[in-house]
Amino acid sequence: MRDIQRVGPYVDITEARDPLDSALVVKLGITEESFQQNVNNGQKTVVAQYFGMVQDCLLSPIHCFKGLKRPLMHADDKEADKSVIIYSWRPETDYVWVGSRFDGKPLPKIPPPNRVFVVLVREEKQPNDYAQVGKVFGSIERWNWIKEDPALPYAPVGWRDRYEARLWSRSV
Amino acid sequence: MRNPDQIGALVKAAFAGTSGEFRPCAFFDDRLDCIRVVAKDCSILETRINPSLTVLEDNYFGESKDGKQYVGFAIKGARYFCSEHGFDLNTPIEVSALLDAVLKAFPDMAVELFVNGIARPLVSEGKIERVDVSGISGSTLHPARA
Repeated sequence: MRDIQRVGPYVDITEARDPLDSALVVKLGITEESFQQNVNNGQKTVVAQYFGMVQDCLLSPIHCFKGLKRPLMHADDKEADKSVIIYSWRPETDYVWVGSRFDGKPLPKIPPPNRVFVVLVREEKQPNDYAQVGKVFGSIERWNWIKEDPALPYAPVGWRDRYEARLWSRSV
Repeated sequence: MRNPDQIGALVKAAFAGTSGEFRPCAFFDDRLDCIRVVAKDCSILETRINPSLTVLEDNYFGESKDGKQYVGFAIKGARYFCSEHGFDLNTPIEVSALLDAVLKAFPDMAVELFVNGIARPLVSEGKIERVDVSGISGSTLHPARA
């Protein structure tokens, strides 16, 4: 089991398929702020999903989209919606935390049919280059399940209404 | 791929030094400009009502003791929405007032069903009163802290 890689503002760094070319790999980070929000809220299932389905799993996505079709302001950036990357696929296992943080455990679950898992990533405008890991392309912001599009397997339902563009799709 | 024991160890390490206790909460996700109200720690299925409103469902509600399907909601483009509806972004906002504004902004039956049938009961049962959209890190408001 690999250790958590802390670098700069990120509590962990992982590899993902490059949004520009699915054959290539980029580095993504999850910021202390994003990760800690889940911890502060006691969302143990969300954190278990990170370790079981996000970290080390971002080479698995079948589709990659870019741009959210909704207003998104971040700091002074009124067009922050354009810099969001969305990965989607169908993991074989989901995790639900049962019990307390002391005596609990992640319960593996077979995901319900016709659902896909999405991970939202914010592309860094000026990616930093770190000696330990190189350039970090973006930050992992959120992950959850969405119903699957009947016309495009492994993609979220209504993806054309949700996202600006489909960057790539891989064969299963 | 990690096994459940490895995932469990990492989760426990992440929560070390905290109570790890989940409480219903309303929080502002600054980086995605989104208000989330979450009433249960579970695997979440997000279903869109419209581009600004999403209902959160328990992926396994049929197997859970409480059997509750709806466990939260999200208001997206929150900062824009709040400023359009006259809320002061620098002070915590009453969730009930926010829901009134949602009804006013989207006067259709689906939204009315969502607000009155799902969102208000969740907020009331979870005693979730306010949400802080100031964007200050760690600005989650739990009932006990609100």
